Amino acid sequence: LLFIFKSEQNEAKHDGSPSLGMTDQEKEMAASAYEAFTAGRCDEALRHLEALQELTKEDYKIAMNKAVVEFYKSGQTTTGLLKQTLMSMKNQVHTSAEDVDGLDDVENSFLYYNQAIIHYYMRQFSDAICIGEKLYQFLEPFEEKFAQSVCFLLVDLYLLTFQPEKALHLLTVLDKLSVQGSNKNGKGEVDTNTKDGGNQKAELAAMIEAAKSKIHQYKVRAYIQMKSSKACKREIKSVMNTAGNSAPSLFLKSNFEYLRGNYRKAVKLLNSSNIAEHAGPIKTGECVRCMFWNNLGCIHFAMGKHNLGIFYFKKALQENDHTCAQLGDGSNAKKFTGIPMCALLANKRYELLYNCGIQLLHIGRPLAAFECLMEAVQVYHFNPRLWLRLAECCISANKGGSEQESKGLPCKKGIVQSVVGQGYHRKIILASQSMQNTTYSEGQSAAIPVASMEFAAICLRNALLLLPEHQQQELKTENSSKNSSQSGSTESGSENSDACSGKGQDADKFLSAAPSSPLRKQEVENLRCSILACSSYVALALGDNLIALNHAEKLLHQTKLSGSLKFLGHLYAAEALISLDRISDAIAHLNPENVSDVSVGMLMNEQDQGSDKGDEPVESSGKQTPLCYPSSVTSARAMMLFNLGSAYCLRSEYDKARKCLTQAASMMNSKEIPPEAILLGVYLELQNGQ
Amino acid sequence: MTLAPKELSNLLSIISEEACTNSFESLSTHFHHYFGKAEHFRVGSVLVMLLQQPDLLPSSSQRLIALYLLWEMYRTEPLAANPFAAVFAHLLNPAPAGEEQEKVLSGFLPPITQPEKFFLSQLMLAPPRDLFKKTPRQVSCMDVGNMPQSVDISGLQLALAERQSELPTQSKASFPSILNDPDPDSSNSGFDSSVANQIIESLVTGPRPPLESHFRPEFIRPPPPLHVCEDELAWLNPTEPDHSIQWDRSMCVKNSTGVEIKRIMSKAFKSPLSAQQQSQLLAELEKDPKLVYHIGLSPVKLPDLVENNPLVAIEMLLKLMQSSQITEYFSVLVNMDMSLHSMEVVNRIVWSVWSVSSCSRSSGTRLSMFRTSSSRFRLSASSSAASARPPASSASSRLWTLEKTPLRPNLPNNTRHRCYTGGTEAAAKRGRFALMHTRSVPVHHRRRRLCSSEEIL
Repeated sequence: LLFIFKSEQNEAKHDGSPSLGMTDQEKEMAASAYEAFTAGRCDEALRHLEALQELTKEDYKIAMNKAVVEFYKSGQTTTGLLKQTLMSMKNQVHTSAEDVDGLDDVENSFLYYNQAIIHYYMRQFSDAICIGEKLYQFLEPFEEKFAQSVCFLLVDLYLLTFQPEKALHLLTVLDKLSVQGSNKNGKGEVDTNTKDGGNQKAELAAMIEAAKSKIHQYKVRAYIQMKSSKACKREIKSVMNTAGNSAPSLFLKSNFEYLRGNYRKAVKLLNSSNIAEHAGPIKTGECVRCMFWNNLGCIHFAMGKHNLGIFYFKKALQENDHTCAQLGDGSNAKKFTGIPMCALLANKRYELLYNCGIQLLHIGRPLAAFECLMEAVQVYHFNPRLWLRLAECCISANKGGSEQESKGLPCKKGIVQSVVGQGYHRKIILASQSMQNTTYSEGQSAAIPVASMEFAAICLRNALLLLPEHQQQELKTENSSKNSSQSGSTESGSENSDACSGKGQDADKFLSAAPSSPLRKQEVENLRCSILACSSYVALALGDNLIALNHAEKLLHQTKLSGSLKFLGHLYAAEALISLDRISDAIAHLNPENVSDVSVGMLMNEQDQGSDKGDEPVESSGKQTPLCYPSSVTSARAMMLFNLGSAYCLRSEYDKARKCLTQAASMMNSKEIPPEAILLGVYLELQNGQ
Repeated sequence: MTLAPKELSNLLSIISEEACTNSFESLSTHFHHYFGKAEHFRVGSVLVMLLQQPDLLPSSSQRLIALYLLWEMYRTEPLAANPFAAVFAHLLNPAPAGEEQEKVLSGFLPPITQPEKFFLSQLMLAPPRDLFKKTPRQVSCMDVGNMPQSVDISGLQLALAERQSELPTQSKASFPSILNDPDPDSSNSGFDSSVANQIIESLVTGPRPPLESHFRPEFIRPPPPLHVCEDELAWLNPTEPDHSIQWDRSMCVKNSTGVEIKRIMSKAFKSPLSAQQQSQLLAELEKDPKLVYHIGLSPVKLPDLVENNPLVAIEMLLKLMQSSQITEYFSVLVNMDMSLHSMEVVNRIVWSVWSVSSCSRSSGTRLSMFRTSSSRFRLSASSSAASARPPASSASSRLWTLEKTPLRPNLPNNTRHRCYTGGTEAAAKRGRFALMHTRSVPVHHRRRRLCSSEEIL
């Protein structure tokens, strides 16, 4: 009862007090305060606001605008303070829980918008999106300029969080808004012709032009994330037409050419953007030099020039460190003060570390790569591919002698571990590989990030958990026809500036892989295959034979499995089966006929790229050629035969084993024969008593 | 499994040539003096290795000590439980004649002499007490010609086979990895105990002694290749974000009319308004097209307004036509209880929407009003479909198929067109028709119902 009474009182207060309305004097003051503010005369605006506050206390917006003016007066450096002020205002406005009937929020839209902005610059993107989406629901009542600001913010947020489809949808809304705006202006012109309409009109036109160019740029970013190169090409053209050769548009075009494999062109475009003249990071909040080096690194990585790649990434990191030092160290310690708000986003350390780590892994420095990626994964822990890369670091750090193995060095050393004694007592100690399996960290918790196989197992488990469920695959066959038509319709839909169709699917179509573009369905499946193969390998190394078998079998059941991984799947399954004492099952896996193809590469849209690259065939060779692993089908088959021989040995079928061995050896260059095979030969001879 | 150098030298002193003059009993006490139960297995492994390498344990009496110790360590347990019982079984097992000389497999136990065999078989059976009073040297010189030669070890063999069958094949196929490789060129071919001891030490001690390792067919396990994918690295683009903190322009612009209108509205949900209130409200709405969003008309409240003030409801709905929430309003409208007022509202809205869309054919600007959000776009698409234009975009073609679902009254398109042009009455009829139809749609077909609410239009 008391509650009801209270709420009634509240209502009365709400209804009663503003009935006084705003006096003309107040309105005038508010107008002049705004005028002073837009002209940049902060002190004057503050004076007006203070006077206004003396007249009327009830409008919190006066206080908010005061806070806004003070924020600008400080050169936008008191972000933390403003955040607190806005937070307390919001709490004041919403004394009663959450408003279900949201229409009231239209009143407080600026408060929300400013909060979202602060979240944006503090990299609290999900909070910002939450607020932005709430605002978006009431887009219509807003005046156009504000509605546009809301949309732009939300688009930017969607792109930063790699949700290109949502961004595109919003961009079509923006398109309509700007069309509406220009129409209105066209009409309004007649009325305001008498006054300074001409001047205003030019200003407005420029603004609309800027907005359009902005929209094009956002669209390019969205299409690049979606990897739809045709739509992208069209938008790039409009960007180049509208925003000529500004750094952002040149970088975008370079990005596009990089994705198409035109690396030389991409480099040229980057070089033509005049980064020396770019305003520093304190002004724009972006360190273009650092981006420049980073992108050069990306290009050289893609060209397979890994040493240059690492050089450029290091340079980018240096540049970034330099920028951060300029901005003052440790923004956390100072609670987001002292730095202009826009510069809060300048630090790209984690993106750079991510790039660096992957580059180091490919260059064959897994431990250094591990360090970099471990730091990056703290930010991008939702990226399954990053977890796989971490596991790959562990694997390649632990495989030890296998490099020598693959290089086919003289392998006597691989067989004889040492010779003890001399003369009559001389002993030969044979190398035993099985010992290597069990030498990993003992007594240490596997969750401590060191590049061990145990940690690799954890990484791989994370990666698998982050992938969407398997059942999608079963649905895929069902929906394959539907899907194709649907994707067609969404494409045409978005072209018709209506992306409302198939929204449900859109969300599942891409898998986030920040900080790079989201993964498409096929890429996800490829990733799953790689993860399963690694899981199986790691489990074997750890002696978890049942798990290894499980992963290997899952791997072999994948529909789009590359030849190389299929081969490995059979090998791993066989080894696990043998350790589980199911030798005849293992022998079934070791049929050399199981291997017919060992290519690793499955470049996604080869036709698509082929047609795009047609005009520049010279450059296309720079694109990663489909790799093979192992080097050929025959060597893969030989490996299988060796293992088959080993399996026969275990069953004491030495004749069969010997046959396999000789057959396999005849398939290979004598230098390439792995030590295991020679050991097998030694074993057979020893069994024979020689 | 390794022995410390100290332990090893203790062991070697027990089985040294010099120790062979002690009786087995005293050797046993020595042994137990040096080694506890926990070390037995490790010591035993070393002894077996020594037995396997004839050059390191050359004399028969030393072998006797080794065998004795192997037995002695586990004498309290049944024989088959002795981890080294397989050694005994192997040594006692009479090898098929003929092959023995040729194939002395490396790492396999070399054959033993007759006295050793006798001694071992005595151990297998209940050993006579006085046997251990003898010294190893005495036993090794025994003439065993007239002693019973063989014991029946088939029981032991069976037990061993049973135990081994539980082991995986892989571990059964292993060799010790120490290979005997006497250098044929070497001049000194005699046994040198100090050299031998050194070698033993290097084989047995250390962090990972060769003793522990074993040799078996290994599988080639190539590590998986690095995952191949495109566009993995993060490309950075400058974006020049220009989102900035904004001044709230709605400060102090709240005026008295707004409050008054809100008051009238709250009344309008409860009872019919007076003519004067109504005209005031409509006039204000006309003045400020965005006012309608600020006065608290949510879809939930719409039915109240329709029942009490249908005219106001119509005007407001028409103003809300540009809102993204208009479908919500329509679905509420379609689902509310049928009454004279609700039908009137539906009727009027259908009529005015149709007239707008027919105008839109001539003026592009009006049409564009309908395009500011997806829902409005659908609306205009449906109206273009109603006017029997061929579907131009995929969006409208989708709507086209929707119209052909059996839910709809199956009028040919051109007749429907005529029906609309026929005027308010026909349209109203159709509206009512659709209304009744949608009622029969199950509740979970929400999306379809939304479409049908557009269909009314």
